Amino acid sequence: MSLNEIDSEKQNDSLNEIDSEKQNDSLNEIDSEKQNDIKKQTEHIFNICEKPVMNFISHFLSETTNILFKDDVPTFSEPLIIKPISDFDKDKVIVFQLKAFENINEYNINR
Amino acid sequence: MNIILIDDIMSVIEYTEIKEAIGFLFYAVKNVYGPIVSETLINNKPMLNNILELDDNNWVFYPKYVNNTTLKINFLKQSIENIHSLKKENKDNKPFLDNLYEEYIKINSILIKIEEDTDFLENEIKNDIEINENYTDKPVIGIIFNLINQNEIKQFLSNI
Repeated sequence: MSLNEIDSEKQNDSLNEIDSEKQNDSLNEIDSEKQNDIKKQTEHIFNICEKPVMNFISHFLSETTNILFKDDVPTFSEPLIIKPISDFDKDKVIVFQLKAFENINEYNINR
Repeated sequence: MNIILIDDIMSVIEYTEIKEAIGFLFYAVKNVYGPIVSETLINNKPMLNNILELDDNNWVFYPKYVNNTTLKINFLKQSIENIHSLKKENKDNKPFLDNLYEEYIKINSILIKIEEDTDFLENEIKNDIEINENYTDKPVIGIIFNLINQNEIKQFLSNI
């Protein structure tokens, strides 16, 4: 093997290493982006549902939430807001909220 | 429920955006309910046999009692579905597919064994129906619906 050939092999090796490092970096970036998205979505669904679900369980078991759970019930339950539907009413947003009720009659009266 | 609200709901219920929103709430409740139930401090976790079902005509989640065997069957069927999805996503990864296939064989054999005992299952389901007949006065999680003018949304949110 000539010196030139050895040089060229070395260069190729180091280029491959750089490529592989770059690939790993971009894979890690994608992973971390994915993880962030999952974390954000999990927080979002918990913000919407945690309070009503904890209250529902409390009603169902007829126990106070401080006996049932280590954590306090959140004071706020995030609404799900839908942008105006142009075919329906372009000026109005649609807001959904979840709420626990003692029974179906209470829900029908209050909703 | 008041008539104006019924009219409002009926006027939007067929829109795809509304269906997607209800679908998202269904997904959210299902995914939050399990972890919260498993974290309750009461021993023997009494809520484990009570799942939440969506009545999509009335926009309400109501509790439904489900026996342990049916819960197990549902879990195994879900696992098989997950395996099918993973199989599609990793069709070029042979070692992974081999492991998946082994898992599938295990899960499917457990499922077949459980479903073989039809008498036992029928009794369990009959028992579920009796319990659920007494659930008509149980708590529910309702979906509250409001139509708000765009310029009033900030005020509405500050009052929640």
